Amino acid sequence: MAVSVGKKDLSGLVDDRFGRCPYFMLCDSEDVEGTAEWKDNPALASTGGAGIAAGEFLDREKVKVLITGSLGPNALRVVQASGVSAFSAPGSMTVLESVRAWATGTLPAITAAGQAHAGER
Amino acid sequence: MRIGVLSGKGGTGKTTVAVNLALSFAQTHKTQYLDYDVEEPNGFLFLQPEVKEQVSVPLLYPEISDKCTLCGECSKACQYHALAQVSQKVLVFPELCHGCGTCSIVCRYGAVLERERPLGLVELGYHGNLRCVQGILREGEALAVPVIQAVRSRAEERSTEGFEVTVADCPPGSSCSVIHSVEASDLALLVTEPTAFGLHDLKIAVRLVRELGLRHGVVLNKDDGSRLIRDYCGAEDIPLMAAIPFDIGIAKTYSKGLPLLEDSRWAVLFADLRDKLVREVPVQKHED
Repeated sequence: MAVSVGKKDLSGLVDDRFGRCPYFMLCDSEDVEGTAEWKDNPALASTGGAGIAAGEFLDREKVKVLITGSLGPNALRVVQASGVSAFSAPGSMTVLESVRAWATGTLPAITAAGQAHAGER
Repeated sequence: MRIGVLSGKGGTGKTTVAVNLALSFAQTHKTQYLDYDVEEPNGFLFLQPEVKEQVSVPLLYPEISDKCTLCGECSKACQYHALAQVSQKVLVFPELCHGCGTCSIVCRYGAVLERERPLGLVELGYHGNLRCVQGILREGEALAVPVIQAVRSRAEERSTEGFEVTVADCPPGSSCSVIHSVEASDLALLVTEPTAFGLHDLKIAVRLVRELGLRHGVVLNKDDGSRLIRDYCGAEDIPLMAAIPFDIGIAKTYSKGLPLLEDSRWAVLFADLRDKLVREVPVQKHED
């Protein structure tokens, strides 16, 4: 699974931006602390289409579950085509808390697109 | 002679200057007015030309056929992320596509079919003997440059009609759209207003025309007699070509969508500007 994050730290906060988050935390959901690794978001510096490029990256990384804030219309199309299940966590949650919340089924699934360009800040 | 009318800041009076200068030139020269502000062209509101010709401006975008082997080269090559390859398919995002055609070049399997979508329009008409051309970008589209290039191609590049004067009404700002509209002008007329914002953006426009190596001069609009723009022009050695007063009558005429030349004071002001341009601007010989 992947979580959009601002810091390379499990106690850091979820970044609610998808295409423009600095890093993705990638892990096996069975053993978060043992398998967590952080990868630079290759889409961060894109002039446009960041959500699409980040979605392609997750596909290459064989991600099946994504935790982020929201997905714009283009990112949602890529993530859904890639067969990734996306869930929404607030930016006030730590990465570890968000994964635990997902495991207990309390994170809402992202099924509709949020605003385009929401992460450009 | 090609006069590019531009300004850093929006709302300084580019269209007012371009339209009235073109009308003034039309009295003495074979003239055309070109509205390159394709995101919001408004010169036709004042000129009300009879439109004789309307041409669609298409933009190419890819469609992926069943010859696709999912090699991934097309999405890797796309600078704009208009293609995404995920899970055994290639997704196309036409609104991000710039129509560059790179995907069809890199595809070794002939799987990229190029389709066209309408991006905008070029309209051509006449106001008396003044030829008027405008580009219109379709609502919701973001790519202005192909429409600008279509206006240029129609009105300036394959024109054999021998226009002596072209007045190009350029977009505001200093982006690609402005560069494509103003390049190859014999003179860039920078329209500004005596405000801190006007001066700030004028400085950006001056940097742009200097970078492009264009001869340039300033038209001061809404002139309140203050020193702000005059001192800047003096210090930078930029000629002040004309000053249009801050006048309620001008605002009223503008708000009715009428040219200013109906008032003899402004007819004289624009005729003076026209004659000054004819006297002072050396015309480059462009090769056909």
